[in-house]
Amino acid sequence: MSKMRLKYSKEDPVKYISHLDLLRTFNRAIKRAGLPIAYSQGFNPHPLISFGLPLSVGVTSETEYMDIELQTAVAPQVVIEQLNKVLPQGIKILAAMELGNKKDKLGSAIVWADYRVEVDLKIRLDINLAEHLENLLKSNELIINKEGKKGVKQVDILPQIHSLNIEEQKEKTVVFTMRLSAGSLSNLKPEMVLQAMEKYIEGFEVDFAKIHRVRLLNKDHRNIAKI
Amino acid sequence: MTQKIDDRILSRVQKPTRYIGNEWNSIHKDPEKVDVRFAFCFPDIYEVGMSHLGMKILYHMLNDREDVYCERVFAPWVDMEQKMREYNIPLFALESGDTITDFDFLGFTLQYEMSYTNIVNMLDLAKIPLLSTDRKEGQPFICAGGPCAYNPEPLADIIDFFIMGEGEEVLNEIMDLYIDWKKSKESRIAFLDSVSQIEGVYVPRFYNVKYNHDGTIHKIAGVEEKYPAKIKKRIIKKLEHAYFPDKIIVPFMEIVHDRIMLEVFRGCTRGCRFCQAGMVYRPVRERSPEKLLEIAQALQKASGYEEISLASLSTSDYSALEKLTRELIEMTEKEKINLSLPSLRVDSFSLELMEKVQKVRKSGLTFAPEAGTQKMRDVINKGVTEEDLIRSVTLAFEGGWDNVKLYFMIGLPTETLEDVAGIADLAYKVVDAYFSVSKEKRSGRLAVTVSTSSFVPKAFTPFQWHPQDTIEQLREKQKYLQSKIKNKHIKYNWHDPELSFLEAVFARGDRKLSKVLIEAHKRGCKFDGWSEHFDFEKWMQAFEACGIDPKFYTSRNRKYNEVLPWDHIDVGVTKKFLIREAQKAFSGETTPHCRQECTGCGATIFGGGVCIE
Repeated sequence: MSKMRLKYSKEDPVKYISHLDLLRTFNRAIKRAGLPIAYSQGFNPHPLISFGLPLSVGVTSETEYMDIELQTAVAPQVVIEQLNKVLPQGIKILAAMELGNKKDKLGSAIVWADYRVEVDLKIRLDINLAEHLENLLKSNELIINKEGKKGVKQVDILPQIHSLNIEEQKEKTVVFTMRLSAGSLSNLKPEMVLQAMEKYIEGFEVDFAKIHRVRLLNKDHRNIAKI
Repeated sequence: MTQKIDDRILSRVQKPTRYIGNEWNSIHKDPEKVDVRFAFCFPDIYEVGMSHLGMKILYHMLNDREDVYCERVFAPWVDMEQKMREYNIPLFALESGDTITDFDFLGFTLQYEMSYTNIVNMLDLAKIPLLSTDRKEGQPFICAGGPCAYNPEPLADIIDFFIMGEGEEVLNEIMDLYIDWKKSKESRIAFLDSVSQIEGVYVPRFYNVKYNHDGTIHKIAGVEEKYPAKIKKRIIKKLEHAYFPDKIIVPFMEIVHDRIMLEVFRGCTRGCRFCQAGMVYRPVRERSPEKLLEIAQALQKASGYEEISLASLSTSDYSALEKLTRELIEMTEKEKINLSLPSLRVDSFSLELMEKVQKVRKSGLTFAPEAGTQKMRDVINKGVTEEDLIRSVTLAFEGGWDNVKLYFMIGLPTETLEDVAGIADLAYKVVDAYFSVSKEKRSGRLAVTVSTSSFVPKAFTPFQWHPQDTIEQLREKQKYLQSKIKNKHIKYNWHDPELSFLEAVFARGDRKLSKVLIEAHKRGCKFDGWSEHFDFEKWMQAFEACGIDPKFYTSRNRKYNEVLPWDHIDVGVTKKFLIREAQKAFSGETTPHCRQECTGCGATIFGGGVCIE
């Protein structure tokens, strides 16, 4: 058995496929590539593939990770080449590394995620947005309505925001960069941050937001894999 | 890679994956470098259309030609349609994202009558005139094929030309002809004129229909001598050598039949008297197990699919079934993929086979006795007995299955309430069979599902002259059957009789119905096959507005000498044979299947398959 970690990107228009669709796509691509994927034991064997943090539908990313287990060792470069030959446009393996006997699970390593969010506003802002943002982050709490399975809940998202900056602003377009809580324990979606801004900043009304995940980080704010 | 549909739209509709294309093995070409842009249109949503085997074959066949770019078009779901109309986006092709308004061809596949309003709606969304005679030079030709094309008349005013039968050869002939015509810069009508001379092509506007005073047809004839009096369906004589793609598109999202479909044979040797497919696809033509294995391996490699199924009308009648399944089992085990065997008939059901295939998953088994009493099964020529069924389910229960689905039809010719009660009796006997198996052998909790559809008389069947039960009669029979089923192990499902009624109108309708379709479309009818969208009231209003009584098409007992709307179509099977079969049905006589004895149905005229073996 040989464990391998792959880094891949998910772009337009594949960003619209769900996490389940992505899993199916990789399962089939691995079969097409003829890689010696290992299977789980038991009655209904399935290929041993595990993912980090699922990406929301409509979000692009340049740093997604998945772990695969192979029955026999294959050089990382070969895995990259073989898979890229049979992946649909918009999904690309960027890097691969052997994991050896390391037992770190992808999911639990992820604590933070960086996003780049390009927002088209409904109306042009005539306020100093940067100043408003700064004040917002200095406040005691940022309460938003979150729709859950048990109805609408009020949540304070402030502790889940590590940083929030304006990268670019012109006309009705603002580009934000944000580092937000990510992972199985605590996860904040960029849409929620935009919702808070709409609530607390007058005149800030989102027409459409293009969200891109830039990187996934561990608790020490380091890339979760050295690839 | 293209994505011309705005994010603002895609992010605000359900399942945007339906509209993005770019799946593995989809074909992308430079539109500037082809002579023909062909939109293969399926009048239902992506998940349904992508499951259609015919599209998979013809898509790759057309795209294998350098001069043709074939793209896929599906009916947008209602939320997407609303956005498209709001943002003024015409219907687009999945591959290029281009609007299909000025493509060379739109080719619709007619799989079921209840998709007809979607065709009208798709033309409307594509900004193409709904009536054939309103289309101008430079606008696409609208063609259609598939099983429902055998009675093309309800769509006669809408479709420019129909293709009868299997498309592999005739489509190429049409493409060649079109490319020559395009160079000649001749008129639109000139193309229709020359395409009408290709065998299997029907151009309805070149035919006049004269009616009798009672609304029945007096005569259907070409407006000129040169138009064939009979349009003969096309078949591929030797399936073994027929085109079959070495790759198939692998969708991102789950589709209805999400697996490799192996077309084992075409046609059906059985002659169930209600079944249109069993008549119009004759004669039976098989592929060899060697060829099928070769196709299976190529498709598996090219797609990475995790399941293969055998797709044919009655797969268990395949003459080399044992050899094929043995080799497929070997292959699928090696590749760690599943093999599924659908539509096994009760009488040739082989438990051993199922055991091998479904080593673990003992999912539901499906049987289709179609009728509850032996009398009725003889009427419809379903060569299955009660003993067959009970033996099969008993074996299945002993093998650990505990979930059985039974399919029946109600409203069949000569059916009495006694026959309806027979359905319940049969279900009870299946329950008894389960409890006759010792506790150690049987497993789980028994679940028997009885489903009844309502009989719809179809063109080119021995029952094509027979009236359909009225909606009230069907509902009464459903209620009666429901009252007869009082057992916690049996669940009863039934079809909406209003939908079956409408299906029957179009299955045997004439060309007066084109205007009803357009009227129904104007009133908002679409996705009629989807219960949440089916609006019977609107339909009845459309009939009334057009001054047409739908019952004229369903409730009338047609005479054998009546001119039927599809009499100018030749499927091989003769009227003489169908009349003989109808008469035998009413005297309860059965007819042997093709491999036992040739009963002279007329399909020998094609000189292929089982007829010459």
